[in-house]
Amino acid sequence: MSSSNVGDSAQHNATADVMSGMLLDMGHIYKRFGQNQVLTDVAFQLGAGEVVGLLGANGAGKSTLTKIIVGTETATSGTMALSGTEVTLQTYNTLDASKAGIFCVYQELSLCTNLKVFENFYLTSTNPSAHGWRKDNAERAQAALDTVFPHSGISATRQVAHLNLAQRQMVEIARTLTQSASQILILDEPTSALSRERVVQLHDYIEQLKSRGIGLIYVTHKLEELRSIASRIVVLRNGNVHFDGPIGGMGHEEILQLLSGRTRDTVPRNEVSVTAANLVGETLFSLEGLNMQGLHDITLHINPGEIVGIAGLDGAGQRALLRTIFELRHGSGRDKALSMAYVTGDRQAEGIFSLWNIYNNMVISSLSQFASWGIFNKKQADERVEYWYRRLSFRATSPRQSITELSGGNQQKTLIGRGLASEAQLLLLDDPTRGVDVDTKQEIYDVLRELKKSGCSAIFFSTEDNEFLQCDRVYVMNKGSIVAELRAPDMSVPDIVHASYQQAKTAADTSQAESRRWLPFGKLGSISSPAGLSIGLLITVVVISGVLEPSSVGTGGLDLLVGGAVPLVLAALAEMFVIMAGDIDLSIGAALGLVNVIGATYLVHSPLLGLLFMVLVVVAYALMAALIHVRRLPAIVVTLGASFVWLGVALVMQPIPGGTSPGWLTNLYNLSLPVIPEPIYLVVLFVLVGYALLFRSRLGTVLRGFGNNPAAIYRAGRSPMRARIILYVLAAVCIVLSGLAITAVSSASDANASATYTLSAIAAVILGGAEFTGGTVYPTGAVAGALVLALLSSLLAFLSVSTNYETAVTGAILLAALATRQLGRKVRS
Amino acid sequence: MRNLNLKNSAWIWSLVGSLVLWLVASVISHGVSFKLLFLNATLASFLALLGLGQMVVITSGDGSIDLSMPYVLTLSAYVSAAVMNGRNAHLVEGIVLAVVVSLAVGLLNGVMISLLRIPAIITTLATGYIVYTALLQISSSRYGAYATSPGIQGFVHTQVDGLSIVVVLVIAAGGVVTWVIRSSVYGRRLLAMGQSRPAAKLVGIPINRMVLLNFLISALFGAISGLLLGAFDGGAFINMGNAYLLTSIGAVVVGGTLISGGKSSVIGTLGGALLLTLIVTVLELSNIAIGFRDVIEGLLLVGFILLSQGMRAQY
Repeated sequence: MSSSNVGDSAQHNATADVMSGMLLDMGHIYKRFGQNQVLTDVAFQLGAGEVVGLLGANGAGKSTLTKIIVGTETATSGTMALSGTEVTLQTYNTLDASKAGIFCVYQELSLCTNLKVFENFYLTSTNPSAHGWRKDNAERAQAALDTVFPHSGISATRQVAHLNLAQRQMVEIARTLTQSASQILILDEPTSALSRERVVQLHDYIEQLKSRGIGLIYVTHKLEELRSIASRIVVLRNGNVHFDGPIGGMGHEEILQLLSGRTRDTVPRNEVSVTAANLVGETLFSLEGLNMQGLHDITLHINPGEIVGIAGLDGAGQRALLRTIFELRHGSGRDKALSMAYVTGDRQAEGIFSLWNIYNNMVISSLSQFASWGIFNKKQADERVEYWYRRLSFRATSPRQSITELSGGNQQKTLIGRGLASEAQLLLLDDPTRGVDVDTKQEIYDVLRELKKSGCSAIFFSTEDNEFLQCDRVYVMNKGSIVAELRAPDMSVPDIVHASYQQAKTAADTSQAESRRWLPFGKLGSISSPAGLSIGLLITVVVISGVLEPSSVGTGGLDLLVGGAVPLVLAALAEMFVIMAGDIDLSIGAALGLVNVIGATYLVHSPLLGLLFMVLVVVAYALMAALIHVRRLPAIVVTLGASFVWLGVALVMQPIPGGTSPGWLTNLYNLSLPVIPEPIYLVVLFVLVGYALLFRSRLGTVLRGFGNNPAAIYRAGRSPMRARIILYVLAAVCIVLSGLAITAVSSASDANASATYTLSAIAAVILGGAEFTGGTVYPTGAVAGALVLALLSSLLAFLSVSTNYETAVTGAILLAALATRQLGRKVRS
Repeated sequence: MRNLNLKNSAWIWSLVGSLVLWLVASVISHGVSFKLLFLNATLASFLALLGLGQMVVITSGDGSIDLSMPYVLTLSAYVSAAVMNGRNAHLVEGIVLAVVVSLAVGLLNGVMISLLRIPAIITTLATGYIVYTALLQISSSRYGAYATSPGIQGFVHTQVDGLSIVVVLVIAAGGVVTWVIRSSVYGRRLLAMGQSRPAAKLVGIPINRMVLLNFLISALFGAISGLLLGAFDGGAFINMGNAYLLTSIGAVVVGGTLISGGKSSVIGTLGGALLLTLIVTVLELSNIAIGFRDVIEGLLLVGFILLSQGMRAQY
């Protein structure tokens, strides 16, 4: 079509760009992934103050093009000029992009959920703020949120984990759009979770950005939005620029035609055929007065051969309702079991099995149908998969193609095929067309319609209101209640929107009653707050010890007890830093043994060499982190291997136990300080340093963010590898201190003696509220956890329990503590 | 369908490594010897059995690892020896009780992990502690060694053409596990839940029941390994499982089973067990100082992990 004249513009010379206010000028862009040509001779321009809509079916190359612009993908060949300055595409990366003022709102969001809203703002901020950076950034973040989304009700000091999807999307948008140095902004499906009102606010703000000369690229499947905001659209098809021109005057249908190349009516309405079953009222599934999980007094029914929509504003309880219905599939009480299949639109998080091909992904829902005596019968399954594979007209080489090689739309077809292949009577469709192009959408509608004829039913939830026109009936929800029931053919999108704003009469009362009912358990919840559990245990252990043996909590007793616990406290802090990265270090015990040996030998007779060895331990940890990161190795096994190395080196240095503690170290460890014994000062110091480092400093914010979401750190223009190395170095520093403490306490060294520290350290950190998934650790909790484990043995001695039972008691406390925490968590949610 | 590219066939490294180490051992001891290989295979069998159980748990994903396996092994050896008491009269009772007690530990693990949602690594660490205490009680409750029955001792020392019956058993067990993972509903569900727990839940896989089953299976393998090792050594002693704590994980991962779950390799696990055993043998034969042996063992382990698990960083 018009692609031929578009290509010429790449020849624009730099001066012309500057004069015309051209921000971005890309020409002859090619991109190939292996055999797969994704972009072919693409030209793309963006002028100052311009909003360009980037359109295209799934797999047309939109996301690849935007990735090249933000520097996460490198073009195979082509030219690119930013504000008239030519860039070298081969070396162009995310750092260059952010320096040039290019920022992107990602569809799958790039927030760290363990951080507060303003800390997320800090990650991408380029503003220097020396003193009081937290207050400074919090104010700035709040101002940004209030500017872009007035009355959003989002506080900048809230943790992102406590926000719903729409609120998170608003945070992501506000953070990116208010970047001070921005020149070019890319918005990738920015409104997928936003209500109409918020979309209007966003568009108002985009108008402001336009007037400031900022250029925006708006990627979306929602054509109505583009018509209200974009001045020009670029349509990609099969990696080519298919159309590049003004949107003004173009009809909805015309754009659709550009996208698919097919002439077609606008999204056709579902022809409603009132089947006999509908009239007779033979229901397939019904709920009456259901109250649970934020749902209030839900009464609904589904007839055979009916598609029922669940509409409402975002977060009104639609998804919770779908999940609840799915949980009821086995039947309870007088209800009988009903076969159901759940089709999710959140493909990456809860849809696909990424190591498998299409076949295996589809057949997993219907295994038991093709099995006798628990043995899977492949022949029968082949036939059914083959049928649905053809029926859904996949764009794939065969059902044996790996699912990760497919475009989003074809992955979604796999999930739908999975649901259909199970031949369930009721399909639960959870936003099944999310991020899917119009053609695929249409194919999905067609399949659903055909399914109806065979007597199957579906419950359909969508984030796009016009999709509900595919339904026979629509329940509209508001705040967990069903507030309206609309029927085809009379219902319209405005009807649904109108109904979405209706309040349920009884909703407020029930939620009040519910919160009151849970009150006694709420207290349990606060005990089980992350670090509180181990602190509570510590107090208990100290109090019981004090009651049984008063001298143990006297100055001398505490000096002895806490002094002996210092090595484990430091070892727990070391493990904490590694667990922060989402890793586990199984080599801490062996590494402690090595430091212990160095401390009791070289540090005594040749201190400089000893010091050098200590530094080498830290360097070795940094290298280990780099190796784990660069080759994406599982830390648990790398550290397993490393533990042999530490042990071996220690044995080479000192084959049999011996040595002595350096005099200065012993003295340093036995200072007599006022009021309380030295070890307590040390422990308090460790807690304060750990807390300040992780929760107050800027570095700590980045480290916590890294543990939670490394991709977000990368997109913020920071190095995830650097973060991991820093965490391992911090761990190594703690190990060195801990090893020295062991040397001071025992006045000798033994390469094997500290092996038990590994598992104790892990136990202490987990007892202290940390999560293995990374990003969630608490220095206070870890230290308290370590103290509990260390003091336990003396407590058992006071209770005159045989030392044989010590490990069992440790194990039992660990289990009981974690069980309590999980129980508390369940109650709170 | 199964193309032999290196990315999908990480298990091959454990076999190649074993072969190379066998040749190295042969050179050191002057002359290629099948006897040496068979002897190592026998020693590796007990590790391989633990590895198969560990593999099932690791494949189920979500960071699952069974740290209680070495203690279950020791427990099984003690219980069987205590019941058999050096005679053949209570052979069957000894075996049955050892398996039942081990399964009880597996049940405890499974219930804690599935119902209370405590991470597997912590649960099994804690149950391991508890079992260890029980072992201390058993071992200190009477004087003298615990000896297994002569019948089972005779059995484990049987050889088929120079190959120990234990090795034959392990290979048979490997065949069964391969078949179960590939062809049974359980196996497919195991691979699915290992790739994505949320997705597995939405396709109706009973996650809790699966977790329970997985830990029962790992406990069963621990029990069998303990029975055989106890018989092989003639009795039980308190630290007989210690050496297996980390190597049971090492054998699985070196063998190409993904530590993140969803992909397993039985051949790799058996090869991994042989490889780790051969490393120790070669280092012992080579007369290197004990410290250096550990260093080399560690570096080799990391090297094989690099070959079998390495991927390019995303960022």
